[in-house]
Amino acid sequence: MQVVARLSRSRACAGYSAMLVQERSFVSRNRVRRAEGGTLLRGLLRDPMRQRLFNLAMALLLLASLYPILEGQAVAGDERLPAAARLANHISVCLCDCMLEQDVFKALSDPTRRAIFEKLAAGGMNASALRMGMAISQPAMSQHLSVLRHAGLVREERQGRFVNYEVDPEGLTVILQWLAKYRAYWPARVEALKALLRDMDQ
Amino acid sequence: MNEIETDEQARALVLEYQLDALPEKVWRALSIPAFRERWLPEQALAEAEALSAVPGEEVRYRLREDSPPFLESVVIFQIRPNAGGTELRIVHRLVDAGAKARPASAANSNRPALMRAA
Repeated sequence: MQVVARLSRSRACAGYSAMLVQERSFVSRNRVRRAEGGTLLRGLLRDPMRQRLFNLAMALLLLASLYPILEGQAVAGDERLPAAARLANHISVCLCDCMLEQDVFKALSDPTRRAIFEKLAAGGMNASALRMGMAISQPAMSQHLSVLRHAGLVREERQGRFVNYEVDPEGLTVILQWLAKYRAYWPARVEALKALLRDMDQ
Repeated sequence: MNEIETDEQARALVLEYQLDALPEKVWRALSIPAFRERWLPEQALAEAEALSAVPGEEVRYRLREDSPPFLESVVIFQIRPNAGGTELRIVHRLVDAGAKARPASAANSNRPALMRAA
């Protein structure tokens, strides 16, 4: 009897954590969810030390929320129970989002990677087709592609022996790309404006 | 350069610069097409004419990317006198990407569900 109870408990626990993992992977797959507080968090968590502390706090919160399940006081699916765990999960998704954003800017700050990304924006292709017209070695190309992929800008699709790369069409990256482009654009324009102002008569 | 904020929600870029020239001169550089062309080429704009202008204070232009996905945006240049020079504030915002770049939220999100009656 006890064994059965323990078994069902651990099963409930496993089911519950599977649910969290599922939800999380769903969200990160979509990479578009902007949770409330995301903006605030992004500012706060620039500092790596704070990030670490925050992760620790989230882990504790998650653990605390799982406690009733471990103690057998509740079963997975209990409406009251997952609130804290969901909150913790929710916030950690925000965290993923803001890290993703930093990744995007880092990925696009490199001129070669931006060129690769722009090439892919015109249509998907494989790595060797991508290399055509670019003075870049095969390992370097795959390195760049891996950075782009990690930032969620580009996705890969296996087609027989070849791997096709294409721009990940899911939302956020389009906006981030736009922001990255003009973030670099305006300082250059303002320099030109300053030069013009020096040339103009009073 | 002083980057103030990147408001994700509004999809806007806000930048502030300190220029040595007087506001009147900066205003001419911003608003007179021949001068504007020398630092902000027409190629970046959707239309060469300003969307709106408040003389001596702010001018707006519409921009369109010259490569896919050809996103359109509006840039606002605001100027004000500052310590013998001019403070230039650039507010640049996407106008049309909202709908297509922001897919429907996840069905299993934690937001309260809005139930449809009947």
